[in-house]
Amino acid sequence: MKTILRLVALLVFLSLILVGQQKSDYATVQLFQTMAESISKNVDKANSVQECAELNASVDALEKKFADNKILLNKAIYPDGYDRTIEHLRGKLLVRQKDLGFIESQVIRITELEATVRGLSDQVQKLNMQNEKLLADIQMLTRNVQKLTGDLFNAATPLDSLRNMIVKLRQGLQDRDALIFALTDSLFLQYDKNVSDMKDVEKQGLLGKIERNNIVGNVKHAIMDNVTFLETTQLKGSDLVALVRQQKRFQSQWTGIAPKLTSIYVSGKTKKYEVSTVDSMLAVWRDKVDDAMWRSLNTLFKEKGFFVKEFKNGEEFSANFIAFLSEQIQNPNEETNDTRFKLFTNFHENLWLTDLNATWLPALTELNKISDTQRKEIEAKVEKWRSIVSPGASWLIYVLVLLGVLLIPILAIRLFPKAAKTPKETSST
Amino acid sequence: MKATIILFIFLFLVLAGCSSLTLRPGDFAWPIESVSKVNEKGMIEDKQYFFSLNVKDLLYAETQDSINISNVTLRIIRDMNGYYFMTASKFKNVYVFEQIEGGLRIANKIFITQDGIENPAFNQRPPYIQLLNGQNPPVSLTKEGILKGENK
Repeated sequence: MKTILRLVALLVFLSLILVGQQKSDYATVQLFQTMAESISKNVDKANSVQECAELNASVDALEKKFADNKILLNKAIYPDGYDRTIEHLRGKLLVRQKDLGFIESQVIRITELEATVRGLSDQVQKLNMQNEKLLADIQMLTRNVQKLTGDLFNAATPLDSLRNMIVKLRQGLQDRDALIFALTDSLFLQYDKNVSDMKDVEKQGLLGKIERNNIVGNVKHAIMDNVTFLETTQLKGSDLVALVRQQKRFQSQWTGIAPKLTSIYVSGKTKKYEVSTVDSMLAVWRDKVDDAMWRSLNTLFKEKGFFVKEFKNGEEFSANFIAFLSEQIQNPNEETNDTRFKLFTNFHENLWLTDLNATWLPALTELNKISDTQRKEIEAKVEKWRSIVSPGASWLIYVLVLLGVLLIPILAIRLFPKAAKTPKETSST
Repeated sequence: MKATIILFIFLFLVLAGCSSLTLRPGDFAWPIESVSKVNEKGMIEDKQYFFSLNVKDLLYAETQDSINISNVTLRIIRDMNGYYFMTASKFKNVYVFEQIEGGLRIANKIFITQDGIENPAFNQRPPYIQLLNGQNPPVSLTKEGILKGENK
């Protein structure tokens, strides 16, 4: 395993040299030969179907990576060249698979999963770089805005480019988070069995893949990026709710893979604390996102001019908000009906319909911050407040009843005039 | 008269046999450069193109040092006309050689940079030889020198 890791590090180093400067044909040929040689040696050592599949994917990757240098390699490497080297590796692998008695279709299926893993791993790396750049740009722009305005940046800052960047980064973070878990799933799927049923060799193989694809490192990176994003952008309302949802989703996906990783890491010396480290980091993220959410909701009430006692969790929110609504219903200050109606209208149109009922209450219920019962209680209180302060809800009924009482005889006289006259006529005759 | 004709035929045959036999065209280009470490005796040995060469004089010409030679990694490539281009890291020049019996003779010395070439590498780009010089733009070389229009 160490040899493979060293080899991977060497290849990365050589690749970086190639990227860092103009491409040297000699270096390209050397890299191709080194990679081909390492694959060939690993074929000799392969003992499991996963290893064979991984090597199959390695040959595919080698072929793809050097396809543009085919002519050069065919000329420079005597006698095999590019084509025959690839052909030779495939043949050697096939012989090894047959020697070990593996079924071709099984290897192909796992190879496909391995290719998926590699593709996802590349995408994660690309998104990591893209997100880092976006985050740095946002931090720089935010600092500039702060210098110019003297205020802290907030979601309402009318700066389209910054807003666009934030939206892009939020999407990038979400995509990357999803890819990390998809990548992890693909790794475990290759083994088609529970970790507890795996042989030690398989566990070692899986551990190697987890480390090579830097699963835990990527998870940590993702958490740190999300926390930085949260702290940098100071989002509000539905944007913030989206972040809370993202945290929840991440937490739940991590809960799904953490026990598997723990079982894999049991044999490792240094890695067994990795899972608990991620748990701690997730807890920090959850607390931060929760704090931001309650802070944002408290600010919302204040900004709209409604005094609701400050709250820091769902229970406090529900209790304090209901207390506020009860106070409005009871009217202890004996405010006039007109004042109360205006206050309710302001609450209903500017806070209830736009924010609380549209975004926050469904989100808080969905995120289990408040229960359905608490939500219904809040809604019932708002409805009661409305019924009490609605102008003349009672006198309107009286007017209607009075109108009804007056209209009935008038209508009766108009509709049945003859019936009223007939008895008089009869009596005169 | 008969003797004159015989003499004429004899002379014709002798002269025809002496005229040089030329084979053309030929392509002697190496697809990739040879990279060899100089040993303590000043020799390099290439396993791919199967040759060995004493390069002590070249190293002395470039560095004025004939003692510390064993750490030098020499890069050599042959162009399509059969000329050999040689350089190494920190060399200021690229040396062009032509083959002679049992060795090479200098054909040109191309000055590249006063600071010395950083991580040099040759690429075969017919009809030129491309020289990579670290982060600087690559230059195209012929046996006469740097291709016109390219940075010196």
